[in-house]
Amino acid sequence: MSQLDWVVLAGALGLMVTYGVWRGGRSRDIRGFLLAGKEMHWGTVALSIMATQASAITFLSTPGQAYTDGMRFVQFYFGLPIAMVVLSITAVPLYYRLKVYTAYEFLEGRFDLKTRALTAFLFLIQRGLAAGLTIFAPALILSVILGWDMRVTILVIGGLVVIYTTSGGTRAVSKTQVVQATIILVGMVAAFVVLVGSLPADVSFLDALRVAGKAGRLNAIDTSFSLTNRYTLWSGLIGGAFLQLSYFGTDQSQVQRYLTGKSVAQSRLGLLFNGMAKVPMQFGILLLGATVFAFYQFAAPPIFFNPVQTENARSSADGGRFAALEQCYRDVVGVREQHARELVRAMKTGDPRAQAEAQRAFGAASAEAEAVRKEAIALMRANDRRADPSDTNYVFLSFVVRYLPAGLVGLVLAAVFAASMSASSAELNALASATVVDVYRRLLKPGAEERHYVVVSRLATVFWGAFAIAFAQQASRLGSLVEAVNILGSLFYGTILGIFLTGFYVHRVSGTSVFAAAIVAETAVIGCYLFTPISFLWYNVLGCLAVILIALVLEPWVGSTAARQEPSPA
Amino acid sequence: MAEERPIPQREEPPPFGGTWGVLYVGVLGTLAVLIALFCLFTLVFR
Repeated sequence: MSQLDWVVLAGALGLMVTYGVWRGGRSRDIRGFLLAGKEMHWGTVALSIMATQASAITFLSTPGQAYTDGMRFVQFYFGLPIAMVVLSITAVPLYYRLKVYTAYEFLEGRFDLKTRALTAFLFLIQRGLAAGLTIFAPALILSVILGWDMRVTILVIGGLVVIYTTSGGTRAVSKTQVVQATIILVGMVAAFVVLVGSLPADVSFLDALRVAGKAGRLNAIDTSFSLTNRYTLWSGLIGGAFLQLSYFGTDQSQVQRYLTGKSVAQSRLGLLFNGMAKVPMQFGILLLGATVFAFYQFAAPPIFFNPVQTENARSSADGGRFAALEQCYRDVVGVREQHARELVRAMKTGDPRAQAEAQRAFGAASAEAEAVRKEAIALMRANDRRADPSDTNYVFLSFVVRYLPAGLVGLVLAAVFAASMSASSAELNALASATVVDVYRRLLKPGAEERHYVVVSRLATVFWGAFAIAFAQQASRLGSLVEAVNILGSLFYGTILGIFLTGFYVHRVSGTSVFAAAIVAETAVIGCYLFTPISFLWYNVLGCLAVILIALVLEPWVGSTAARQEPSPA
Repeated sequence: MAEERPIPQREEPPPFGGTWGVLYVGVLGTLAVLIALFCLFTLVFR
């Protein structure tokens, strides 16, 4: 990194923290600290929602996902617009009418205290772990690029987030997210422009896309139906809708964002804007990854994108063999590059026979290169059993460091930091809210002064920051980060959504039935994860339906109450 | 004595688009158009 990069990165970090502390102000009551006084415009709500969901993991891992697996991951988000509409109609007006601080308050009025406590507990566990992953991602960048100690890096990143989140609460989080979203947008667009400009002079952007398409990287839609295929149109629309309903409707890190809106209308508009913009945004990030793939068909990629593990392999007992494989890989990708250029020429001529021949040769060279790469990864693993065979998270980062000019590297890193900080600040803020509102104020110390709860909220923010930092230290053992987060969420979201949907729509089910159903459903979901090949998006459907159906079955035996009145907030 | 019924609160209209229903259809319609475009994208570059 050049000095200019450091200046840009440090300036952006300083701006974010200073702006957050400044705009956060000093709230004296819990409504100001946890809901920003409910004074946000829909534009701020929308950016805050988007910035909360799109963490650094999104910008690091998603392009790598497109590089290795193509663009089918975009289908994961197809359920999101559906969820935004459903929540705008149902949850938003309900939460406003009940004047809740957290989503879980609703459950006590509808069911009972133990159901509220169980759901809040599931949220705290799941979101606390996810917050650790969110902080881990940028720490990964610095440790790989600069060789910094991972532990120190995690502490620095987590510490910056804790400073302004503790100081200004939800207002600081939401206001800072607007700045962070701007930095992210500028950084990613700049990276895309440089990437397209870095293609060979005789290869246009369209040519590059055609090559990526021939290599199967532009497979945005898969209409097949399979419970074990991770990303299809149907798993995205059905499983994705359940996941997004649960995330945006019951996860306090998102509920808290739209509860800051001035009115129901402002909150709804924020959600609906997200419903319109999210899918194209994800498509753009995946297209960035697919374009990086196309770029590397005309330039030699490293045999493995994690430079630390590559260096370890070079200096291992099998270093000589690994070096030979690296040389072989360079030769093979050189041949592949020639075939890629021939394919471009053939496609321009429009001759089907020449095109088929060029595509066959390009495919054969690609397969050969992949075989050499797999052999190198196997060798790497043979020398170090802890070595991660996936380098998905390093693909985009590697390109940034190698090919972006001075200043832009700092800007892209600032964007990644901004993304991580915006998501983790919302998470810590929500964790603190659930801890104080659903646990401390409800169970441990009800009836204290507002200022006392604000102080406890600040302490809870610091506690969850420390928890996330501690978990982040272990996160490097996971594979693709974006999938890890989504799998982790899917283990819990279905059950939580089932509890809420039962509360919303199945009036004859009481608290004891839904509580027992939730325990059984969660056990079943974890069992599916451990013992079946069912893809994780379906866990959301399974967990949700299991809660509703089991609660209905149990109700005649364990239920105590038939129809319930609409709850009032605790 | 007649039973007292709660007066339904009038929903705040959206600042644009006329009604909320129009906005909901707009969001879902955008999704349908995007899926169609992505299908086309997949087919063109296959």
